[in-house]
Amino acid sequence: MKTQILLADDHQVIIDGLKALLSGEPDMEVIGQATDGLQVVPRVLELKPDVLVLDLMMPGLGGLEVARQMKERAPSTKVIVLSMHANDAYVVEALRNGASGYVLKQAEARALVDAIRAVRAGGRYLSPPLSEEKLERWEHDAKAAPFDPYDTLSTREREVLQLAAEGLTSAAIGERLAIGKRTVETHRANLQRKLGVKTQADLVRFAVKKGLVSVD
Amino acid sequence: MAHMPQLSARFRTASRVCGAVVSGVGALVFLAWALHDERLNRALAGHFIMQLNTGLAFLVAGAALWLRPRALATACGAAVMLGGAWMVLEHVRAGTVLPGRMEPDTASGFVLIGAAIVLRHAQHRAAARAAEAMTIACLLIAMVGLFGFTYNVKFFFGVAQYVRMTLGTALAFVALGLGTLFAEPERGVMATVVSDSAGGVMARRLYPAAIAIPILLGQLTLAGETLRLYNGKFGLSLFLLTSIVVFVLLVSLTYRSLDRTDAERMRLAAVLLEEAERRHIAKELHDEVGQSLTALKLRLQVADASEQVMQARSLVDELLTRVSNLSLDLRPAMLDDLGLLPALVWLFERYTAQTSVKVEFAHAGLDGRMSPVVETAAFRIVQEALTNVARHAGVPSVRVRVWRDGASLSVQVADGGKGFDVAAAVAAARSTGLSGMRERAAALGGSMDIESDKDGTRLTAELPLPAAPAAAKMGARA
Repeated sequence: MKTQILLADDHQVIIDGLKALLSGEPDMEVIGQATDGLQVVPRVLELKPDVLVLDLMMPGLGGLEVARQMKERAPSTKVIVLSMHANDAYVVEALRNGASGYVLKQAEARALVDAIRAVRAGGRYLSPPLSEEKLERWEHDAKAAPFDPYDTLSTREREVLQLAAEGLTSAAIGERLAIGKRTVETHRANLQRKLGVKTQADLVRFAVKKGLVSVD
Repeated sequence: MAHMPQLSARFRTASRVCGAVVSGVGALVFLAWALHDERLNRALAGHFIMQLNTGLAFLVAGAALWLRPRALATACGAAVMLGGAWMVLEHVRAGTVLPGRMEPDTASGFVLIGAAIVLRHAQHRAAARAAEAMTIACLLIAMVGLFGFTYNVKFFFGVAQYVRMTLGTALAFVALGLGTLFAEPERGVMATVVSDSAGGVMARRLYPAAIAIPILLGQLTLAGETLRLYNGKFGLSLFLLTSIVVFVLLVSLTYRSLDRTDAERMRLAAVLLEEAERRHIAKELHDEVGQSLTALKLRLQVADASEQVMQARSLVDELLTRVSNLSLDLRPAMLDDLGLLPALVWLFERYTAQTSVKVEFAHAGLDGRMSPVVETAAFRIVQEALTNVARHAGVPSVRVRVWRDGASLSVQVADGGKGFDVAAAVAAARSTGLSGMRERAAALGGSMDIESDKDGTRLTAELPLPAAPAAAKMGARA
């Protein structure tokens, strides 16, 4: 039995090109097309294709959102995203939204045929130069790395923090640093916001933990 | 033209204070009359005794400014207007200035200010204009009285014989007129004063100067005359000369500050325009050119694999990659499609590949999308800062931190390089990048800060995030 395919792309020239490409494959059959994001899911529900080849950038409803809806409403249809975006962020996002394959438009045209066979067989397909390792590296690079809020303080704010933790008033700090009391208060408000401390006690606790002042 | 709400609020408060003071003066006149206290009355009125009915009119007119219910305030205004009109009519009917009555200029002042108070809330544009014109006319009458007193003019003949206002009356009218203007700070001439535009800056600087400086110079000239340093005609030319000098200086100062604001706004407009153009061209390249090339490629794929076709295929592949890179260089599509974090990760990857400078990236609170203008500004600031690091710092790696706390998004780019003189760089021509970053931050109400010394450079920008959408806010209030 032939693999039934639905093509979704807002450019008719691409759909025609894809049709021409796939017509050479005896085990594949294009059963329909959609050129607007909003048409895609209804067409899928109506035609029940095995594979949906989906452009990421579609008018009406973006490809990512279409993929997400497909996961919920037509889980038996495999989704292959066909995109010009070679950036891993798009790939990660597409896979996260339920796509089984990601094929670059700049890749060898054969890649799409390979992808259709692979996802039909239940696998996942990424067209070169995309790879699972690259995706993992991307996820690693983009992972939130917690950092010390102290590092974000300016030199002046660090000076004010130190003196404030030692118990000096804003006026006294201003005198020591030869700046105005109002300026000290601004620095103080800023550094408290950056460190997420509300009270003088919190501030002292932070400074002790950082080893800026000692407890005695 | 947006208004500065805090300034408007201050003017409204000032209006009520003016009203209270005027009412207080009126009440004092009453008190003096009730106690038969001649001394108090003289103190209040300068050389002339303030009429009892004048005091009463001030009491009511002042109340119109501090009373909150509109209907009551309007009623006060109407009463003052009618009372004033009655007094004017009495003088007119007699065909001469009647002694012992409310002075004709005072009575006209009450007619004008009373009518202005009645009309000031009118929705109709013409009515609001008329109210303002009458308020200003009343202020002018008061100032004629005031100058008459301060310059010791004797008003006995010609038009001047109708000017009879006492010092106390004149001052109370000034307070009343200003209070009436201040009560509606977002309309008419006051709107220019509370405006946050460059015009507003000029209005705030020049209005007070235009009023205060001639008065001050006039007083100084008069003092010189009294001391017999020179005679009247010389005094007049001296007054003219100093006025000219002071105003020319003031205009040139104002010109400079307006010019600076204007230049900043123009630079920012250019930055925003460039961003919009970049977005447009990047999208066009990606969507239109890219898709056509893809279609071409698919066509070539099904053609026979002759050598010519193979060459054409590889050319198309190369073109597709170029178009895609060009589009990303102009403006990375992920900034619009996926948000700041993916765009930054992409930027760092490409930056390291091009410059061999490693990026140590740490971030917090970046899940979910933020306002597109903030994301764009943050991206461009990081990009510009990284370019500077690669060009000038001479370091193998750079640290980038991006974090969001409740109300703002902050970015920090820090290197351990040789540093530079920030002030000199800002002054020099090569600072266009720095000032561009600063203006981007400032345009969003944020700030940018650079610290640099021999141990490295640290650039920190803080960009406030817009509050929850207006619709949500309105819902919360309802």
